[in-house]
Amino acid sequence: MKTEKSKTPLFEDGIKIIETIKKKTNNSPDIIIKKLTFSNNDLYLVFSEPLCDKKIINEYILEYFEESNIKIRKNEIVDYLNQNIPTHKTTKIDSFENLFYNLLSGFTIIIIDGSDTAISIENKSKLDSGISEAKNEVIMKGPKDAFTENYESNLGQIRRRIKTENLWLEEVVLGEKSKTKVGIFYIKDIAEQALVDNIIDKIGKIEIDAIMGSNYIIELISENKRNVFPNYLSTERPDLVAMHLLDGRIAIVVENTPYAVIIPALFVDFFHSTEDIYQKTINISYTRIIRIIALIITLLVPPIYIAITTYNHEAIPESLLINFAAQRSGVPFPTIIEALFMLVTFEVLRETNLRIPSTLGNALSIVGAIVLGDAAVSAGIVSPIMVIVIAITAISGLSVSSFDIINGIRWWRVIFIVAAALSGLLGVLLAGIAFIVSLTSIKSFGIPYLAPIAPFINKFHSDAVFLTNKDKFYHRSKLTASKNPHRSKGE
Amino acid sequence: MGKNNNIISPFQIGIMGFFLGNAFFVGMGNLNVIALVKQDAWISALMSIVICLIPLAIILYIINYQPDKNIIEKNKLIFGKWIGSIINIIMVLYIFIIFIILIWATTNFAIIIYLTDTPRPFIILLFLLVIIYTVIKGIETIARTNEILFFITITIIVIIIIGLYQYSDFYNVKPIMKDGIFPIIKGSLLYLAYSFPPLITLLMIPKKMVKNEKLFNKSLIGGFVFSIILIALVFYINVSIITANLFDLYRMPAYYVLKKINIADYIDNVENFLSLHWIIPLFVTMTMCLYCVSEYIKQTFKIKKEKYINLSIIVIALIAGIISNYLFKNGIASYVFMNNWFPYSISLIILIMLIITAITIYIKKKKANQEKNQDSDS
Amino acid sequence: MKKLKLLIPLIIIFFTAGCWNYRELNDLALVSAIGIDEEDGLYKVSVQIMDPTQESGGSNTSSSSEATPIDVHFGKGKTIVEALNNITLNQPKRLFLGHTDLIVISDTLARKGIEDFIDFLLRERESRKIFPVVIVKNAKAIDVIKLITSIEVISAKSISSSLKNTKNNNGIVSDRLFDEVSMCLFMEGREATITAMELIGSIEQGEKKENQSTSEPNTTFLISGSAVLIDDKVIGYLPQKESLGYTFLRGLINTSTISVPCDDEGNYAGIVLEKTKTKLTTKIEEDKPIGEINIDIKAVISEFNCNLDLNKSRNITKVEKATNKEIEKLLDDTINKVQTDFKSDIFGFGEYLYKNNYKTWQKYKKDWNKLFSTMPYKIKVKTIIRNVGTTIDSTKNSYKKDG
Repeated sequence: MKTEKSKTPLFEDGIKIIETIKKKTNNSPDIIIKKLTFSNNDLYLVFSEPLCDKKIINEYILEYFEESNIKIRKNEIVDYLNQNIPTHKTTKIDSFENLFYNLLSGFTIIIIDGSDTAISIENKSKLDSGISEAKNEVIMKGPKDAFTENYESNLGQIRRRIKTENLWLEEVVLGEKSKTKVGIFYIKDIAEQALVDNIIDKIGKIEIDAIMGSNYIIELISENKRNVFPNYLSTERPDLVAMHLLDGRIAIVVENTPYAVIIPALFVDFFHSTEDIYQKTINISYTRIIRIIALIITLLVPPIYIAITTYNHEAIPESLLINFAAQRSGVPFPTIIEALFMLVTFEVLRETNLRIPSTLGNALSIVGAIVLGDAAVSAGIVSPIMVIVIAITAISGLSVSSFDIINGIRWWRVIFIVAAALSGLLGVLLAGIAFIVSLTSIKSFGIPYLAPIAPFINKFHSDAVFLTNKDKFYHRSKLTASKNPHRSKGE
Repeated sequence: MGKNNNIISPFQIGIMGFFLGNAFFVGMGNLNVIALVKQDAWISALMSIVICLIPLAIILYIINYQPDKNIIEKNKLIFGKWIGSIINIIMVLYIFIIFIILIWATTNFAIIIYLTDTPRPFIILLFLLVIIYTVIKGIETIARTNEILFFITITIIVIIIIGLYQYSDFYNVKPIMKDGIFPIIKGSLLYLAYSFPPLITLLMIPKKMVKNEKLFNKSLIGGFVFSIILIALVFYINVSIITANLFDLYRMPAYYVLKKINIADYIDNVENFLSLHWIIPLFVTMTMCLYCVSEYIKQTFKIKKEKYINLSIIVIALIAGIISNYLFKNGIASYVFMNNWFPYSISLIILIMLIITAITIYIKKKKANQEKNQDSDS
Repeated sequence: MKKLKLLIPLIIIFFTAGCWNYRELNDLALVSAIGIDEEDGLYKVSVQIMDPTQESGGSNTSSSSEATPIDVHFGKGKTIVEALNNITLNQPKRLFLGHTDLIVISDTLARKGIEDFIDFLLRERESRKIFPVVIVKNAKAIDVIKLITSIEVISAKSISSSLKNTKNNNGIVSDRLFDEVSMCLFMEGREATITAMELIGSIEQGEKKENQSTSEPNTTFLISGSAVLIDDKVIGYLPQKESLGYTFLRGLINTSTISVPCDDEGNYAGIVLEKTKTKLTTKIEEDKPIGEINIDIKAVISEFNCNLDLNKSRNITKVEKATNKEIEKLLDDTINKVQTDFKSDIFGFGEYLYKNNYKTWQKYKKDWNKLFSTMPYKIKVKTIIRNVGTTIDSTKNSYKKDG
């Protein structure tokens, strides 16, 4: 929170400060208070044991105070210590709010009796697992490191990929109770300054009690709250973040979250995967087209099947006519109930697969998919072709590269099926038009969501679907980086 | 309203011109042109490319005058407050009538081909649902949606042409011009009377909203001419495949021609999928009409709150839907109307209104020039 | 709460719109053929319904060996619609005409005029207009509908595939689809023809399942030429050879085969015609119409049983000339027969006048059929043999050479 609330200044008497600390944290057993003497003065060391790196406290701070014999005047102790304690970062604290913030962030506080300023020393302990492999966005031929829960290490992973001094970082502290640090990265001479200022401004105005994940921030500042499609990209790979930063986008890193958020994100970005950077350019266009076809399949195959078997029977191909009729003859349910039943079963199976611990997971999913499907067909509850249709749909749905957009598409899949079951092919067309309208009405932070397809801007097509060598290596995306569209001087 | 500048591209205006020119030809307009000139309908359509430049020039002239206002404000400026309001009301009333007729045409098309037994009010509601949803989102969304629908339409048309060209025989289109040239010109004018009226909905978009103003004129003319070429192509292909007599007999000949498509001996029975592309121009025109009427209401009653704007859109659409349910008793009544009444009572009057507006603008400009000359002299 | 108020009318709309048209696939009786007869002054319409459970023999049902793959039902009425409606009185499902593959019309009814009842087929929305139409000569339409064929179990598919293959490879069939026939009916200057077929063998045996299980079926169908109409009434039948000539003159030949006598010893060569271009023109000389026919053919020798040495090009020219003569004779016979027996311009000489010389056509159109029956004509056929297959010389000739 950048708005400064009224600050309560520290007392001069050290003991009073200690009592206030104890009272406010209810004598919390994990806050250790140690008394030292320095230059004939009382010093109190206050720190929170689980959050601090005890090695630094033992080897540097306590050692220093053990060995120092210097005599300094009382009112110069603060400045002297500020300069001479052998740690890399010390700050002065002059209010209780700051004191508690630093104490509970893992800093060691030195309270000097007789002065109303305290010193805080940075010695956070690493409470995470270290930089490990990306678990959810695995690619074959690129770097495998991923973000962790440690904020500084995340910043480091981004900074070491872009070493220019133009990579600017703005830091904001959000959340009244959680006081989470939020870092906003952008490259100054590529990103749009108006957009950056707008976002920093909006983030600054957020008032909430806790930030639990990076998507909280986006949902609080974005304009389209009721649309199911995401207008941000969340990733756990720092190389992807670096790529997008160089394209003129903004990355937001949140403390305690191993996912960074990239804004603005357009619809075509969800068909690009990280694999694209590390493969041959010309092969990527093919995989992108496959993804788009998969999207069309997942939305359109069940509704068309339902429409042609219930409303527009003359559209069934001749060779399949007898087949369909024979398969439907044993099934007691109408087609729409069958379709919804299979869809719900599949979604339940998918959810189960996510939650169950891996020891049980594989066996259960095999049981679910094969046995349930096959047994249902043999028992005459569903027809075999419905199983195939729903299976194709579900698998194509998972081929889109980002998890956020799959959730959006699930809604629309059900709407399409219901529309087809109620009005046949006409319903599919109308649902399709409604889908297009809802996509084109989103504006992702000022850029239309379906650009560059609609509005059709020819020059911006550079890497929407078909990627060329020139675009990958030498051009930036003109939608977000119009200030600086060329990557290098050589072309 | 500085925020509203440059949000529509000229390509989108061209696409709108394309769809608006196609709207009345789905089962309503083309039949009368065919009945008049039979197998020369495609020549009539091509000839109207030349004649259509006149009404298009009038519309462009009106749009280019005072480019930052839409037609409602322009009329008040041109004719003075009272007469301008009356002309506004008449124009919006005509747009509303076109909207009602189009709803009838769309539901008729849907009933004949897709949903035979469903009663009409429910199909009207189904279409109105999607149209209201589109118009509520605003003109920008409408323009962008039209672009994507344009791509879909062009894809379907290419598939149709690939599937049908092997059956097309020029011999069936003969005899050419057997009755001379006058019926063809008459057919051409009749053609324009059906394709021109929806274009007045474009007057509601102030030109300032379109970026790259130099391309605006060319795009609009290009889009409209493209729609005429497409309809001429449709006439030609249909007549060359099923001969003019059957073309005259069928109510929706374009649908029946599609039944013959048989690609690679496997892809057949596709007429239900491919004929969906006739619904799209109807849909686009209906959204533009509803948008115009709602803009008029918004400006006249000065409604600012978004909730009430949406409510007004819903109410207008529902009223139009209810009226269109009782509009024509059956298909025959609609043919009689389209043949005898529509070109004269609707198209002609709209054209006359536009001509009067253009002439008044011209006179005003001349007067302003004269005054400027007088001022600079003295 | 407000959102709920909005949602309820949406839900009502969604759940009621279109539900009137909802039909499950197994509630429909899939009609594969329609036969139209006349009995006691009423139309008797019979339908051939496909039974999908017998077809696929899927895992759900057990097919008994007694049941047939098709069911035939009929109804009577003053109009075709009424007759079709009466069929629901004796079978459980709703008729669906969207996949009809064949229309069979009986000869007696066709002679009375087909325009009386084809309006239904044009006006009905469900039926696709591209099914074949046949007139059955020696049986009632319902007998063809009841026929059970081998290989392709549904006789409608069997007959329509046969028609399609005949049109592509044989050439006897020219106008097989319903919309082609209806185009001809409305065409000014040309009369229509419809494919004709016969049933060969015992008719009662045709409807039993044993017909399918013997290697030589008791009853089968045969495509036997075309029916010639004037206006909308059938007045006679063209046999197979003349039907081939008719297809030639209309320019609708795809591929066909002709046996050409190549020498006087009674030996024939089999010529396969690959590409045919027909030009039919009508000229007016001294106030009388004269027909001119020019045909260009590209052919291939498929079988050569003559004593000629094909290595020499003059022999090939000889074969070409023989082919020309043979085809000209065929066409001559055809036009002659039509002129004398039927007096109906089915070739389109009048149509040519209508399309290219409209004012003259207005003069002649009143009695055109009469004028046609005495119209002189000139036929010119030009064949080019492009290929002789994989062997060059004829087997007979080379056998004689060596032997």
